[in-house]
Amino acid sequence: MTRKNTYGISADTEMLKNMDVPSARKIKGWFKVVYTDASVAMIIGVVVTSCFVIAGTGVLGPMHMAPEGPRLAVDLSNIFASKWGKFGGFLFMLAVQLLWSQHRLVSRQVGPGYWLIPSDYASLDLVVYHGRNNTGDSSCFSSLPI
Amino acid sequence: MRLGVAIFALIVSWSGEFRILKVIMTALIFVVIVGILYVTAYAFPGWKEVLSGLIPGGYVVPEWALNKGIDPDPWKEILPLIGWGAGGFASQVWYSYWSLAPVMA
Repeated sequence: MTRKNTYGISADTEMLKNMDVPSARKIKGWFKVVYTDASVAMIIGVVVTSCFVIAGTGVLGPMHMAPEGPRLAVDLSNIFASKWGKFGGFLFMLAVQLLWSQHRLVSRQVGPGYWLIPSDYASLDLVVYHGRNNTGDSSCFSSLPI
Repeated sequence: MRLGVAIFALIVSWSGEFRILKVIMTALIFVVIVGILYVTAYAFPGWKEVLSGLIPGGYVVPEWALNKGIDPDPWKEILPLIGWGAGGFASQVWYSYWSLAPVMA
């Protein structure tokens, strides 16, 4: 259970066991909040994920790039650097290092890290490319074994 | 750097205070969403191409990708991507629970 903007207090199981019906119904009302939240999250997730797929393919496909392995981040930072200069490339590598290596730790231990660190979505951008090339070939999607 | 993140996580955990973190996260989320919408609009190949890519058999792996060692079967690439997305959605819901907890208490 939590209080205001704090957390870490264990649930009062005795109170939950002895809860009266009106209180239980009031708490059950929160189900609607959770359902709504999950539904909206799903919609946003699908839209944003689709956008990352399209953006990833749109950027990598015309360049005929399918980065993978240890050079994945380096190749992508080079793309970033082509628009933002050396500083942009450095910033990208810094973010990859910080976010990719730690987002699991933060998300599991602190809670919000997954959203704080959008590297899962960023990595989607890393793992897809667009099959269309300059000759007008048909498209495909491809992911890399991260 | 890793040590810094770990210490930061430790401080937030022990302080039990995360309002500032939520503000920062909200800002970052908006940056990500606005950024990806912009790039998508910029790189959008057209609905015909996007929708044709959703039809089995409507797409082929281009020759340049095959030359780079990509498997000719697109499903070997698509299925892991679908699995990846599910993980992201689950984490999103966990975060929502975490954020809602103070309100629900």
